[in-house]
Amino acid sequence: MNKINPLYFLVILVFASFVMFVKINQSHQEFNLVQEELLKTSDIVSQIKSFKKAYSEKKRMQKKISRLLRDASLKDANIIQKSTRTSLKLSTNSMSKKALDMFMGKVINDTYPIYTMDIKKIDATHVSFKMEFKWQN
Amino acid sequence: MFSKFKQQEQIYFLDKSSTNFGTIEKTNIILSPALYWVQRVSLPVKSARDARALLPSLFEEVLPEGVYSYSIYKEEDDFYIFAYEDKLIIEMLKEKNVKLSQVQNVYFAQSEFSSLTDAISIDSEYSLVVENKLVVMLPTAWISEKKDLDLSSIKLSKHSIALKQYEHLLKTRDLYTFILLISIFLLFMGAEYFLLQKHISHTSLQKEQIFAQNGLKATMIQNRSLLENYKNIYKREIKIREFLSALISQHLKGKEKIVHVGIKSKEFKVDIGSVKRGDEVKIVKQLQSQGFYFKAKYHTEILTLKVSL
Repeated sequence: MNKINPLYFLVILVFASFVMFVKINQSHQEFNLVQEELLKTSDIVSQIKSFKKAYSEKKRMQKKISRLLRDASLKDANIIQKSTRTSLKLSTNSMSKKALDMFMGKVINDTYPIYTMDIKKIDATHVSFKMEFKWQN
Repeated sequence: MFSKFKQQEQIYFLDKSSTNFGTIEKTNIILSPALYWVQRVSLPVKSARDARALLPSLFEEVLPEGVYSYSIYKEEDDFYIFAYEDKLIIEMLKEKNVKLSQVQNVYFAQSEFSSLTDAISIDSEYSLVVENKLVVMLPTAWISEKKDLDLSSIKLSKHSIALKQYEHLLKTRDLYTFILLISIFLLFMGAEYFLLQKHISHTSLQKEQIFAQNGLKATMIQNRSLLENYKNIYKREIKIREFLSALISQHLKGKEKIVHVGIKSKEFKVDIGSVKRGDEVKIVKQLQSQGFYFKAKYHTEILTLKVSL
């Protein structure tokens, strides 16, 4: 017989449909995987960005601290600031407990990254104070 | 009874009385009039193609129950129309040891013997004659003068047909409908596959670019490491604040006072002064009841508490 039997063509099409069905299924799985990876990656990015804002923005936080130190209640404390590329050291030989309460209240309720601290009682109303903040690059 | 072969172009006359086909070579088949129905008609159409759709209705009241294929050709002003059962012919070919792969072309006796002038005997019982332009089989007993069939003298016409192996299972029209539906279905599937691949590419690209777009490190490993580092800092800072909060909330009695708070890289230390012997245990237990476990050292009324950061 010289003509191609259309039944062969139908069989080929059915087989091709089956192959395509399998391919589409695989593609769906691949897409779900890629989407899941994108979501995980986005989550990581979002977390890093939040942490970065808290622990890597030295300039912004340093400005806040400088504003805080200009507060009237801390004027008498004479707190000295020493800044490096990644850290800020504050120190004073004597500050009132009231000033300490005010300052520590602000520091603890914000995301200042406390690295070291040393507070010693001098007398009934005063302490010596040292604190170092350290930011990440 | 007989199987006739033409040397260069083999021809096999198929009839129930034909002898079995003895070789594996390819051959053309001429169908005996017993294997098909034929009519000579005049039709109000110009070409055979125009009349194809009419063929089933022209045989409607003639054919017995079965699955038929149809054929038509025009000769001078007449149309010769045919109806035949593919299944019957294929079965007969198998009976005669003719494989379908050996079949070159299939012809009707009508188209190949239409110019017969004399009767030709097929077997002892029947002969082929042309009556009223139709090639028919008549009992040999009715015919006085007849010749033997000589297939070598036949020049095959162009009116061949193609046998359909599975026509009885599925009509051609239904088959083509299925083919069309599946083709459309396949087209949609192809489109879906293409779109999916595009989505995958786009999402992969987004994933690859997300770090760069947010000014982060280039690789996932680097960024995971960075995140771990930040999380450790976060845990440490939370601990510091929790310890400070716990200390501030302590109910220290009498002259007990926090005299020193020190935080180093890995250590949180606090000294509580004026603690009477026996009271240091209470302070430690109080902190433990709040979930804070310090290493405690008591010496000369100073309770030193240490915990790792």
